[in-house]
Amino acid sequence: MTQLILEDQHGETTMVNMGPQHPSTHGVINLRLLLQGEVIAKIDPIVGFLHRSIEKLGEMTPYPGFLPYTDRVDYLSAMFGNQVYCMAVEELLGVEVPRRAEYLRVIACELNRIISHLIAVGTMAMDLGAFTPFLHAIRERETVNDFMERICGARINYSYMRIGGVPRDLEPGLDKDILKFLDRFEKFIPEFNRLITGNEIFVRRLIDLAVIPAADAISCGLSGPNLRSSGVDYDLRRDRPYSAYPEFEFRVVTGEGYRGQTGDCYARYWVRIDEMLESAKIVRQALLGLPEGDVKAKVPRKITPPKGEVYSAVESSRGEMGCYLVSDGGEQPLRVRFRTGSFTAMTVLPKIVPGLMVADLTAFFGSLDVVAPEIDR
Amino acid sequence: MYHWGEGFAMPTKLDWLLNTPRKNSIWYLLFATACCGIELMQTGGPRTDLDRFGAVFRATPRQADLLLVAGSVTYKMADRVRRLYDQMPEPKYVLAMGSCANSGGLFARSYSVVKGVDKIIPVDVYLPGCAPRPEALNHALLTIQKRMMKDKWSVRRTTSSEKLL
Amino acid sequence: MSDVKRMHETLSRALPDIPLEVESAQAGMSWIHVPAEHIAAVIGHLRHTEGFDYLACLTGIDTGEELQIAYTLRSLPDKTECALKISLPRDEAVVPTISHLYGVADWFEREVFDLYGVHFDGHPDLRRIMMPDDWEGHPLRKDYVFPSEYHGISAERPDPHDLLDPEYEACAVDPAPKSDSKEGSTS
Ligand code: SF4
Repeated sequence: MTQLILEDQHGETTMVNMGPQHPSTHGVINLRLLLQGEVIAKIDPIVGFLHRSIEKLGEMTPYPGFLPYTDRVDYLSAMFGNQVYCMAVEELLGVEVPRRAEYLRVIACELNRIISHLIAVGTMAMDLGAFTPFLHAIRERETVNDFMERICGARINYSYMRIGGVPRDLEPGLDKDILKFLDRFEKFIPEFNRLITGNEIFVRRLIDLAVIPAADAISCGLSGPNLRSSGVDYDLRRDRPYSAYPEFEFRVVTGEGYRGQTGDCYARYWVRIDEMLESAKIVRQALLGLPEGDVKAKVPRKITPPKGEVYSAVESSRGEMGCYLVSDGGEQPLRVRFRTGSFTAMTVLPKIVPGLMVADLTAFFGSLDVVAPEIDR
Repeated sequence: MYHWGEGFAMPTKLDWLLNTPRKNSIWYLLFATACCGIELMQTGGPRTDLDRFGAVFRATPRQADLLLVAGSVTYKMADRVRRLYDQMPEPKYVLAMGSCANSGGLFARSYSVVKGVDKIIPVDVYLPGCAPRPEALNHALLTIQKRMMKDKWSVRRTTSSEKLL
Repeated sequence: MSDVKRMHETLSRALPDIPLEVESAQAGMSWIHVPAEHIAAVIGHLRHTEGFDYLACLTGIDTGEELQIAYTLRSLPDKTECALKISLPRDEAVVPTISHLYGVADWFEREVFDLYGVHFDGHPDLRRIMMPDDWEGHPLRKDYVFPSEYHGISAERPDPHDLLDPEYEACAVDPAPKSDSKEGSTS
């Protein structure tokens, strides 16, 4: 079908700049499109508008002081940035994190995953013209934001974890409140589904659109929900176990069995919805089985890890977030590098987008759920 | 805009008449560059509803009165910010949200972040915080409203982005 | 650890002409050191024969003396990982590209080119990715000098303390109040 349209156009092309200031590019990303009529013939994503040189700052900052910067790598899921960095330093130092701290980290991370996915599905619906679901998502997000505030004092840039654990325990009563919220949240998801997920207009716009085959997804280094929705059953939490995740039961959601094809935009959307429920399950297990004990291991005040390198990876809400840390034995790292899910997700655009319509690009781009700072860092 | 000569004093009633509708319908440009943009989105959300001040977001600078610079601006982005600003119709206001937009903030030592958006465009209100809470953003909006009420219709605001260079 | 050793044995058997070494430091992981000119061949072998279908990470490192590039490969079905590393001279760093093996390597290599100035031989589209096209220098190199201005925007921001009114500052840092200055302060 698209092939036919391409042939009709007698080779007339138009260059269109989408972004960097564009409401549906999720931050400052510039998509340079070559159009043949309404069909995209070529796409050249221009990134780097939010390159804040976090990696260079890492080389200029002592180990503990770098923690706030790790929030800003991906502000929608700041906990994962904290965790991946802490894990890397802990591995170099050889510090064992107390079990209670690991549980608290898992709780914080999974709550973070929920609110990050809420924004993802909310903005995706907003990109397609449905504003109300976004407001519903924000409403739930605000509730979790309050918990985050009670956990660590901040609303988006948490800086919650420390090298060796977490700085403080849950405040009394918070676990009950979170459990109460989870009960409500599990009812909220069906409500949300009634509102938008099952909406026929929404479904028709997304199914069979921009299918990413599994082979392409792997070669382009997609990770997280984007990889899984292409039918690849891979989750770092299960397959490269870290923290306390082996102790929990959860299902790895893949994009099979939904309406449409595996790997289309609708599958990517559904995977996120289902992952929120899985995260809620994990949080509940962790809260009910919270072990007693310390929340922080003994770590020297001045942190000087021995010479060495390490690659740690966590399953962030946007896919694999990795931290490649090189230490030369000094107070500052020799190199900190963040490998992020959004960066790799962008590389799939030139493969998939040609042949799509401009309006479908918005849907596709929304379904990838990339955020600008994670691409640029 | 027609410019009256110096020394011409209009009754303040006219200012009031012009400024009141203006301040109650601040349409801001949804220009979320970084983390502060999320807080901006949440401020527009249900809990701290910006709509009740008449402030709604616009996606295009041509329809916006207020440029809300939410987050860090890099050198690569600087030109675009200036262009956005120049596209906005008069009278226009700028709110620098977050430490990054104020002074570079956390990234003041970086090689690629502009050390304060006031190096590119004139700023009316600085909102500190990293990220500022929605309450703070509300307050900043009210400050902008106050600022608007002080505007004299006979006095032209200097709003060129070139002077700063 | 054992993964890398095992991989090293397999690789040495399959590619006997290429000198490969297992290296490690005091802490953390170990990696296989590969001569830079053979990296595409080694990774090609790993990709096609050993099933390392996923490029998890590609990063440049500047140790001060030399540039290095670290490759972290992963096999999704087997759940194994393999780290490779190459060393390059700081001036004239040239490496064969692996962008034909992994789609994602395209952008990873562009990033290393942008931030370290490593040239990837055979890369289809080697441009700057993070910095503007007219940016000078490669920022993540250790000897990079920070720019003082870009397109007329200066990178200086005066210390706010210097901007304070000197008199105001004098008041602010006034030592403990004297008893006979009471009259002045009440006004
Ligand atoms: S001020 Fe803080 S929260 Fe806002 S953009 Fe800068 S780093 Fe992010």
